[in-house]
Amino acid sequence: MGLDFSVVPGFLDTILLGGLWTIAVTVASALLSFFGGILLAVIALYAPLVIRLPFRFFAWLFMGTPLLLQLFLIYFGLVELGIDLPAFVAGVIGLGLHFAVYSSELIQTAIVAVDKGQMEAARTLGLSRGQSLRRIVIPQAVRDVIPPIGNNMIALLKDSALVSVIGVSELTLSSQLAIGRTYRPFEFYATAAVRYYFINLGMEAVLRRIERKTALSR
Amino acid sequence: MIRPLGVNINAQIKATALVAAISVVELTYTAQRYIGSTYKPFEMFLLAGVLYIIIIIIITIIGQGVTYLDRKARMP
Repeated sequence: MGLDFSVVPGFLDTILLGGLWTIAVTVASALLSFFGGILLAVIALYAPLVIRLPFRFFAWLFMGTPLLLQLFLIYFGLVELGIDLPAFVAGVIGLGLHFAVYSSELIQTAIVAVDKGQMEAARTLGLSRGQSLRRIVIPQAVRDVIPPIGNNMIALLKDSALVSVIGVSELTLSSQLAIGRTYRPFEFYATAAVRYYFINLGMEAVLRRIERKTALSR
Repeated sequence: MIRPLGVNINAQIKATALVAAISVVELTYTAQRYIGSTYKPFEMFLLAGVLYIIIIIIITIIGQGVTYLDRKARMP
């Protein structure tokens, strides 16, 4: 039998399209998880108990169950309640919320770590509580937390392979489609691994740029 | 040392759901199979989620017990 990588170039369009979908899923859910994480962190720290407790409960549920199960529940389960989401949207919501919960834990500690004097000074200058939170405290907290959130984003890129099970034809599923046509699993999964690695390198470069930019403003 | 290990074990339990993709008959895959015969995905996956949470709670309690014993053993 032996390995034969010569079948791979024939599926170049499938492969490239799959890569683009992976990048699309990753970027969309990274944005959702970042802004959702900030929102969840603010709710966890400042909202009244009636709002805070259910949110904490849901965060706990999201941290305690597998991402695969959450994707199944969102994509297949919600149909029963009359919510029929497209696979891409369901995947982005699942991935985004899962990582938003993890990011919110990081952002919470960063908000608490911002010096109390910052809030007091902002209030003294006449900003309202919400304004000083939004314009003074959260930007500083987010700047401190960018490196660990970057690590989360790289984990998110790798976990984006999970959305293949609900039928988003990203890198992994497009490899599976090509394997179905050629019966050459090793070749296509190996190229998929190489592509994930290169997307990861690109992402790392972008993250390092963002880190350097935000570090300069210190 | 023991606490971060406990966190890793919890993460690992959640990662075991992944083997459902290569059709190992574990919790998630079993839920999928029963959905095939009942057509009730929401209820079945919710039940699977509850079972995962129960497992995680048990592991967390065990981890806390071990941490407690460890701290007690270190007392001079």
